[in-house]
Amino acid sequence: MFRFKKPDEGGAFYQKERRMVTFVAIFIVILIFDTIVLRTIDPQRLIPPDETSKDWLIEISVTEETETISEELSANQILETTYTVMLSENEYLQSVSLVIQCSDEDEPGEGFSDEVLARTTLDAVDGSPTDKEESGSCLENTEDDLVLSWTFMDASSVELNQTEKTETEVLALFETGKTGTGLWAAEIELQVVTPGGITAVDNGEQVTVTWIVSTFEINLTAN
Amino acid sequence: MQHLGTKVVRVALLLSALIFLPVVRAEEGVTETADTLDLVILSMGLNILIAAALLWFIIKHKDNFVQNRLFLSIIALLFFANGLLFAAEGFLQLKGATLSAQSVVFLSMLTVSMDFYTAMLFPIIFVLFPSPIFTQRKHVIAFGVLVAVTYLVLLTIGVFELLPLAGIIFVSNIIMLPAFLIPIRWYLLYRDSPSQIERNHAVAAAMLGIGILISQGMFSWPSLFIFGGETLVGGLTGLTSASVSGTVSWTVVFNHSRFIMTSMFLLYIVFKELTVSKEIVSPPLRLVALTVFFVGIANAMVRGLVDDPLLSTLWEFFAIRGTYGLVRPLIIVYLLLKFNLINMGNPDVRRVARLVALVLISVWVAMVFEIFQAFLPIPQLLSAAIIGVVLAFLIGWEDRVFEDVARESEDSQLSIIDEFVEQDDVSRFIALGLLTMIIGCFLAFVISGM
Repeated sequence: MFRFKKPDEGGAFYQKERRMVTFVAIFIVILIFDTIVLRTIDPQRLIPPDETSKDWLIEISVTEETETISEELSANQILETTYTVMLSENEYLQSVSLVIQCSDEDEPGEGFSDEVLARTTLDAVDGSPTDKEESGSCLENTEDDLVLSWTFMDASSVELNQTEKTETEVLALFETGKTGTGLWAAEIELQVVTPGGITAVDNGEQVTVTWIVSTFEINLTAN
Repeated sequence: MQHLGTKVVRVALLLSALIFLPVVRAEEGVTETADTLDLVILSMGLNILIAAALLWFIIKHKDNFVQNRLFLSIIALLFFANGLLFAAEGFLQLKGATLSAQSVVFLSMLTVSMDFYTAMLFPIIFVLFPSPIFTQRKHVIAFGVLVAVTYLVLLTIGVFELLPLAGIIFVSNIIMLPAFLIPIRWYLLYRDSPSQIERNHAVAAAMLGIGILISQGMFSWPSLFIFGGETLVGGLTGLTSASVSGTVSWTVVFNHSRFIMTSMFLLYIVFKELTVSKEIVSPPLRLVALTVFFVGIANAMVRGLVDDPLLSTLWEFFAIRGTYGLVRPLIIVYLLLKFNLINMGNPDVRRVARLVALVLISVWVAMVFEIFQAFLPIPQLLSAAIIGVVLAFLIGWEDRVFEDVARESEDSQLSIIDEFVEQDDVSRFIALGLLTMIIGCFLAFVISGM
């Protein structure tokens, strides 16, 4: 088919069709390469930002993630805890809290008051939040004895209807919510205070540490 | 008397070039200059004019070879569908704001169905030119009917969303890619053949290949070497789902495969035309291939460097819709003249062909200056004067160029297969093509809910 009628010179299929075979082979190689690249590339790189000014309706959905560890600590024992904060593309960080609970239920009497001391190490956290070192008493029948908090972005502080703004300008309102990612580390030390003597039976407490990470996602709708 | 019509048109064009154009353009603002509406209207007029002229050739001059008449009929359908597409698009741009929602959907769907219609004509075009692949009547008819049915089935599936868009593109690629290989094969097999007539087929196939496949991503050839073609993704419908799913959709990937093949074809033509021996070189093909090659580089630069949305829109028009609205007519008219597909020995045909060539030159000059005007800060009055002068020169020069192209020579011969279809089959093909086109328009009407 679509060869001019002339005597068949013989030869293998590849020899007669080598140019076509080579062309199709190169095509298939490029096709496979491009398919792999296109399917693995981040599509956001390909989407040009919309720079026209519009009216926007912002929908915010807040999510809270918690991680709890609980250990029996003896006097002056240290509990080390870490939490890694990661954000997806549309996700923003609202706040991070570290809640420590130690109910001092075995106090035999006056003069016994256990305390917890919390120290954070936030060198590996983006945005360099301030390290904190605080202590709190392990009071009986209280839920939170010590709470350390860092607020990055208050989602409710942004007006949900934005007028005459580009998408980039609207997203810039949430820029501070993109910090705070990385490894959050803290040490919790139990300090047992006893008046001494043979009646001193207070030798440790159950300490519960909870990381609470509040994030939110935004959805922009152009009006 | 015979050339009176031609002379009248030439005088009219000269007057408009030297008097009317400068006045009109001088009153345009910069924003209006960058508007693509006038280019859409120019494209519509040009496509419909060529379609009408071809239909006139086919119906009026039955003494032409049936092989040529059949090819011309398909080309006429192609231009007619493109003309309809531009008409719908122009109307949408002009009156879109005042139309009802259904009318807007109808016009939008009309452009989609006509776009797909022209794409489905490609396989038939490649099967018929430079020399028919099927030499038996029953095979030609079966192929034509099969393509028409496939178009309607795929369009129905697309319109009623019976399959995802990726599936439709995948299926259409199974038809398109082997069809694209037909001109490629002509070129690969015969470009450096010792036989002149075989080389003619290779050159004709390459010229037709560029003329038809230029709308299939040939200007995007640099993207083959940049991030695996990611620059092609912008603007495609697959991007919406890409942003949701986190990956580029299969729609984009399948669409991209056609671009790879056409870009490879272009690069091979450029390579071959630069390295082929001097005796058998084809200057027009080399010029066309190199022009497309360099416009591809310009395309990559404009996409990468130009931020101005007005300029980008204008360039997009040239690099995407202009390829089939303006570039394709130029190359096809060249083919018709060069390979004597319209029986140029007949004085009547020659006269009409010359008129078409004149209009083509005028539209092209207007378009090129429209684009230059947007990119270069030339005062409107100056550019208008330049257009007038250029057009005046071109119209004087067109006579010689026309004669050179249309002259019969050794390099303009193609093999003719006698009576491989009946003479009446040409009108049957036109009727089938028009019927398919009307059903395509009707489906657009159905989906609009009017």
